[in-house]
Amino acid sequence: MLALRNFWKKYWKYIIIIAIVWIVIIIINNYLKNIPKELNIINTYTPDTPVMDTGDRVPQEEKEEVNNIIDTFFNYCNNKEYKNAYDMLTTDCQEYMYSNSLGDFIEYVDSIYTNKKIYNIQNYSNVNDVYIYDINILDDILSTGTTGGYQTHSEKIALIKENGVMKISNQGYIGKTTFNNKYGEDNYLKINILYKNMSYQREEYAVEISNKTDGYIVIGNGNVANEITLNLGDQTRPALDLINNPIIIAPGQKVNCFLLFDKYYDDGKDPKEMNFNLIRVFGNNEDLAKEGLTSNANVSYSMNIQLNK
Amino acid sequence: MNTKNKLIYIVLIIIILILVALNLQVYINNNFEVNNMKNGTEQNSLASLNQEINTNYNTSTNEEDEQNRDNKVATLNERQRMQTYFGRYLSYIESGDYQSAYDLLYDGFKQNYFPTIDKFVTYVQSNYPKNIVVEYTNIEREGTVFILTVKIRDALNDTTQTEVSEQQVVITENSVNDFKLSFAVNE
Repeated sequence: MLALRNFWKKYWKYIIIIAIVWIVIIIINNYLKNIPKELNIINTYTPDTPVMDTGDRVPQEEKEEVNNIIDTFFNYCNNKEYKNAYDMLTTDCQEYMYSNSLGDFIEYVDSIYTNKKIYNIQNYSNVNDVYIYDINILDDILSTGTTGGYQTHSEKIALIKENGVMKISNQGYIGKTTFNNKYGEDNYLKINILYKNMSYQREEYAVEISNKTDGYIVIGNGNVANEITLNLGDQTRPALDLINNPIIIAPGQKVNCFLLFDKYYDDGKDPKEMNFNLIRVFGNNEDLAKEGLTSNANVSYSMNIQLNK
Repeated sequence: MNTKNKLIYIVLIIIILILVALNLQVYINNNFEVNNMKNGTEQNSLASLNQEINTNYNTSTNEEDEQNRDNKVATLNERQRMQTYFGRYLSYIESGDYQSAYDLLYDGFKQNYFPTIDKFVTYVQSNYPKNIVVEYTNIEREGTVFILTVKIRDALNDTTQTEVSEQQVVITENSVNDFKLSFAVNE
């Protein structure tokens, strides 16, 4: 006992220090354990994770801007601030979807935003710095409780930088590409591919065709499959609806026409060339030309125009 | 005192300190620590969780209980959370705590259909049975908004005559146990 007392006398400072440090550690440990933890709830809604390719995400630094722009555009539409919303559209979208007319845009807004709406978004795919989202616009079911049912409207919107400013292209439309010197020419005609408008599911090519003969020329009338095709490298896509929009060029005439092809914007395929597979040159008998039978043509041949060189 | 004895004393002191610390730890654990929930056992007991939440919600007032309840709800998946929320709303109605039920309604919904609590009480009393059994038949999501389809029956008179037709309930959740709801009103 005496020895213990002696030991205490000699080392009490060290013992007290060790004890204090020990107690402080215990107190800190308990304090940290009792700090309310931030609760992370299970949430399967991931609007910024693309459906098509989860690896190709909207860059982190642009995510907030993208969400803010969609929200602002929606609110402008919902509050019928037409001009403000219209100004957020890309110039290509204003031109193609609304003929550069605010009135046309107002018609669109009024047809969708029939009453107060809410919305949700889901990133669909991101290609070439174009961020494509699905937007689902629906009646404000929180305010109605779904009383009387509710309506929803879905469309794809694309967020695209235009002169450094992020803009919106809506109703599934993406944008326009203008071509230079994409043409084919021979003794009979000249086909000049001017530009294309791309929507999420389709590409529409504007084509100018000049008939250099004094007879009729049939480019496509739906009589035969694959009269005009778009070559994507590993596959071809036929021009749509030629049977209802036949391309028949009168002698010496120049016409502008539009050729529509199925093509998803995010399919990773690059159009290589446009194939005019059955050009038929007739005489000046219009009826024979309209009939469009290859057997009645003076000449029939094909022409390919490179698109990606 | 030789070096060997000093060493023995130091070891003894350390052992005594450890014992003191362990006792202190046990004491603190028993008296202050929030009980942590283990996922494996809790996720299997939604019914008991609902019951616990519904029966204790009014009376549990201290911070620990709230934290505990939040922890439990946070481990549930979305469907279970929405069902728990609606269950809480119904428990208020069942117990006659109409103010608490009314407070859970979405503001815009209140303005549209129940601008005063009296209107809400009148509606509830004529549209909900006294003893409620709820059957969840479907759940859909619209972004952060969930739409539950439910059937509500009278627990004491569970026949097809007393069955309330399928009803949709809309719930939005800000965070754990922070939610607002609305429902399709029988007009």
